[in-house]
Amino acid sequence: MKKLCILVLTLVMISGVTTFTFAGGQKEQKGAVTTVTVMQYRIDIAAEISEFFEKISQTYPELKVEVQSLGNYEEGFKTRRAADELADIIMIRAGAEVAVSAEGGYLADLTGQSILQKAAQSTVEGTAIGGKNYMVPLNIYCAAPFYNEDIFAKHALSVPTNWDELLSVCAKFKAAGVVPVTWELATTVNTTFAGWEFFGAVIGRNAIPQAQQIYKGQGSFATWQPFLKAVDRMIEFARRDYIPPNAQGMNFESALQYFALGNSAMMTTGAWHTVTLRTSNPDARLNVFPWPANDKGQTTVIDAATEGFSIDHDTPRKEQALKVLNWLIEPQRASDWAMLTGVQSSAIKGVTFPDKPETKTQRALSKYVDNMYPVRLDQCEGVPDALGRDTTSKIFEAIRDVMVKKGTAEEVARILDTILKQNR
Amino acid sequence: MMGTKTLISEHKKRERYILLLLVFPALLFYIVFFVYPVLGTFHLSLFIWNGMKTEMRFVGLKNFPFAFVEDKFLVGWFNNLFIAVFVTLFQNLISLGFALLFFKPKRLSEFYKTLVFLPSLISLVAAATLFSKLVDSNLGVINFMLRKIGLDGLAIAWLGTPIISLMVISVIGMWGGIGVTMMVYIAGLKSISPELLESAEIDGAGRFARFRYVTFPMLAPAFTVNFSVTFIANLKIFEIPWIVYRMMPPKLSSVASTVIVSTAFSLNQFGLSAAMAVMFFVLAMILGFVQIFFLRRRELKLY
Repeated sequence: MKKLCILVLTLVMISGVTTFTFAGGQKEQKGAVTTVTVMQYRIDIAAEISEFFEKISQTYPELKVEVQSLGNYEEGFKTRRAADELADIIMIRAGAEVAVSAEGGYLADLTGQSILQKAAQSTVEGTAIGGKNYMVPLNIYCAAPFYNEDIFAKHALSVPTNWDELLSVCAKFKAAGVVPVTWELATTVNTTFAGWEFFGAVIGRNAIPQAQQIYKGQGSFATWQPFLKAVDRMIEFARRDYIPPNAQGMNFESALQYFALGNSAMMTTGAWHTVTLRTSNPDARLNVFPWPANDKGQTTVIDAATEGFSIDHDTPRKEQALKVLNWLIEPQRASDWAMLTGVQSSAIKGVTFPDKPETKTQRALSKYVDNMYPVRLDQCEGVPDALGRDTTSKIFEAIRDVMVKKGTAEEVARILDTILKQNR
Repeated sequence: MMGTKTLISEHKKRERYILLLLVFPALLFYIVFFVYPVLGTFHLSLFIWNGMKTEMRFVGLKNFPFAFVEDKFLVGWFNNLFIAVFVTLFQNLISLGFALLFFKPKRLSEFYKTLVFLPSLISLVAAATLFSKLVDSNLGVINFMLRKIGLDGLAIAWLGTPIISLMVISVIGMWGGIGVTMMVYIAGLKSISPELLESAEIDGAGRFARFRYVTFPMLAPAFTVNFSVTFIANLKIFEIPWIVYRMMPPKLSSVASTVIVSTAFSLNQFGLSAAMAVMFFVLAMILGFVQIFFLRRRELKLY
């Protein structure tokens, strides 16, 4: 009996090994399906993303995408990067994430690849590190001023298109007893959103090299005229009482509610807060427009945070990975991707958002894709990351404090120069 | 004779092993989750590290003086002390009052006790969220009611006015803490022998004198527990300002913990943040010991 059992077990093992080898050999023989791994952080829609990439086999039967969704992406990304075990394709955010990874040599250089020509030039330039491209920009998240269409209609006012018109519209709202702009000052969130918009509109792309010089000790905020102008224009709202009374006792969450409930005509926030605004008041007819913070009007530069995909530096499947990305950025597919991920705008040329009420803000913002630059002072090359981020956060803190006191842009510059002097 | 001695020492040795074995899981837990992180934080404080790059630059103790350049950290410390002292004093005063009111079984006293204790069951995060809605300067119920009764001048920016914002944070902490301190005082009051109070009464002591010379000294252990626990808990306060200001407390309402966390996770200065945490730990420990030392001495004096 014992011998019989051993014999049966041996036969089972032999047949198992044979079947496995034969199947593997067949697969190898076919050599058709290559699996490309994609690392991403949107765990809220992980299943949908996997489903999305499954469709690649319809176009490329020889390709299969395996989506690896990481919950704690920042940590997971750092760990896998340190172990040099990144996926073939990595979902990545412009700024420190891509800069540090590129400097560490973990990302493939995509400079000059034809795939980049399909993205808006602004985003390609804006996400470059040391003049080289390491990511394919795909999604754009931007700060954007919202306005209440009903309040504007009720007072027979139209959306301002330049700085003078903006002040005039605000004056009319104030005279009619309507708070022109919701701007909370208990935290720095609102000021930060508005700040990026104002810096983008007034200083434009010159912000990065100029800030880089100042951070390094060559120059001062006090003599940087476009900076002073942008800050002065922000403080103007507080000086003229165009923001809610006691704004320093109102946090960002309350501010969103305050605006959604129709207490003010405009508010600048991250455009991704559309859902929160809509939930707070489903009846509010809200729309979005770029801040006319500069003298030229709406053909302004909008600050944007870009997210996209990079390719691992030493993947043996670089060609296939590029194929996957090329597949992803086909306009219709990029539109589906944008709808799936709920972004405000797509960096890919020719992408349109469906004509649905819930995509109103996306469609409004899409008009400005070519003017969306990541004008982030804290993403200056050659500036220690900590100093850049620290100083940038202090810029908005100083603006907030000076707004509470209704002070001047020069005060902000003085505070910042002192901080830099201490930190350098 | 020798045999008995050997047996006793064997027994003691075995007992010691058993004790060690019993203590071991707790000790291991303490080392892994307390000693190691504390030492790890001290180790990290000697480096400059942005949390992203794998390499860390050794700078020795240079992060420590740099932490003091951060005025936000010093302001945070002042705010911490203000909140800790404010809450310790008022929470104990109020809860002692409630304890004196409710410790004797009277009609509805159990109901009132439950009522005072209920907020202690609510999470601080929920309480802070609730209060942040109440004190909002434009949408908050408090300012709405003040304006309704014509007190527009009092409808201030509660979260944006220096000192007032700290008081708001303190009140939220007190609201959630009074119940527990009241129960400790009630337990203390119940442990006082009625004979003592009776004999004082027979000796002609009035209500105040009975409290001053009998109740108050006998409550000394309860005072020590309540004062130490409240002071230390509020010295390391974090959730309330973090929630009330949605993770971005301005300088006037920052506390040391919020500065430490934002220095690490918003500014990516992990070494500096660790240096701040080490200083915070040492200073909190010194303050805690000093407080307990004085309260213990007072306890002995009163006995």
